[in-house]
Amino acid sequence: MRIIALMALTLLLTGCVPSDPVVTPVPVPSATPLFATDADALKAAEDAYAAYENQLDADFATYDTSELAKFASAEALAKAKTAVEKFKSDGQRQSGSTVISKFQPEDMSSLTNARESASPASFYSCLDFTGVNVTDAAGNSVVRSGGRQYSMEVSLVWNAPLRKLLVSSEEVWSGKSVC
Amino acid sequence: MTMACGVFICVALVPASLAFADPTDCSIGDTRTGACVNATVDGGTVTLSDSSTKPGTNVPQIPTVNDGVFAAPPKPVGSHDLPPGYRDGYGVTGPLTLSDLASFTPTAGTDHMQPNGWAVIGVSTNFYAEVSTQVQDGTLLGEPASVRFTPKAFHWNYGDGTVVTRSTKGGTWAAQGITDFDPTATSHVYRAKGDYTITLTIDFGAEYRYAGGDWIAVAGTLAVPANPLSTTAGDAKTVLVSKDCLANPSGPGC
Repeated sequence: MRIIALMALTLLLTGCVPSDPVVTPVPVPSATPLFATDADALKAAEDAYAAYENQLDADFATYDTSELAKFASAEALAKAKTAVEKFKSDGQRQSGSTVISKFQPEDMSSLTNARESASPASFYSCLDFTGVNVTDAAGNSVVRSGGRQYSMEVSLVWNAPLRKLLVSSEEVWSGKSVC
Repeated sequence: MTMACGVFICVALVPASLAFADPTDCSIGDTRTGACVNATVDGGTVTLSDSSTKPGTNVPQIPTVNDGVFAAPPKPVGSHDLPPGYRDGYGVTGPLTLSDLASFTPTAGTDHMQPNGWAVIGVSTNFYAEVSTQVQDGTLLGEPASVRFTPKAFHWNYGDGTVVTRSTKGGTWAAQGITDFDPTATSHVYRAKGDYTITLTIDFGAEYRYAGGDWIAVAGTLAVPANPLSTTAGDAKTVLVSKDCLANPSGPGC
């Protein structure tokens, strides 16, 4: 009788205790978007774009593009350096500042959606060059009478090491005018 | 143009003298000098448009002297209708915006065929286009503006259900140094008797240059139809010619 009771106890113990340890899911914080709201994202993008344009204005005046990588990357950085080099080889130099008269989102979902944060966000802008002059090596202005406002299509992408938005592309927009 | 021909493949060799420097996009440097304009393609036309704004002035006019008496200039009629910020008649003007546009259309190409107006079933009929790169000049806001059209692709519809796109405009058998009825990069073989209408559409790429700047690419292409051709396909024994080809060498079939 004692043997049967012992066997029953053994079965009870081995049968009821699970062989694998219980894994309790640890709460993982969901990935957070870069910006909490569209307004925050738009403000950050506009600030980054303005900083880039300021740096460009300086680079076209000094031919020094060493600081540009803090504001631009990829295609935008390469094209800007090429354009500044061409200014230098043509003996042209800029004075005055570019004004961003309009800045509006095209698709900035990557800034407010965590899963898309590696994708660039795109915007339209209107650049006003009325206050910009470009002179040649002899000091003569080479600015045409027209073409003082341009609609642009701009992309910005999040740079994790720098923890800021950088301009990744900027093209003249040939669609409906933004200006 | 010369042709380097193997057994089955002919490669068109374009002399270097016909090659142009690749146009660039409008750069951020060009935007600073105003060398870029708005360029749009609508059907077979490229339109360049731009606007120029002259700033207003705020220098008051010196009163005029009239018989020794200082007098203000007369107030213009209707000046009370000017928008806020605009003063009138006293030497203060608002900004003035001038807009301008210039349209450019490429000259259509010409489609040719050999033999002229007839085809022999089962052998090659040679088609070729007469077209070249063309530069058209105009003005925009008083500055010189030019558009350069370059033929890029040739869409032939041979009228028998065959539609092809070629990257070369082709050439005559003689110009290619080959024998009549030899296949070419643009030839076609009709397989059935009948009357056919052949159409050709040429795609042009476009670039513009404004105020002496660099060539800047225009997005898109222009599809421009060439003249249609008619042909009668038959076997060699039944093709008729109109009159004596020696007497009338340009007649049908000659």
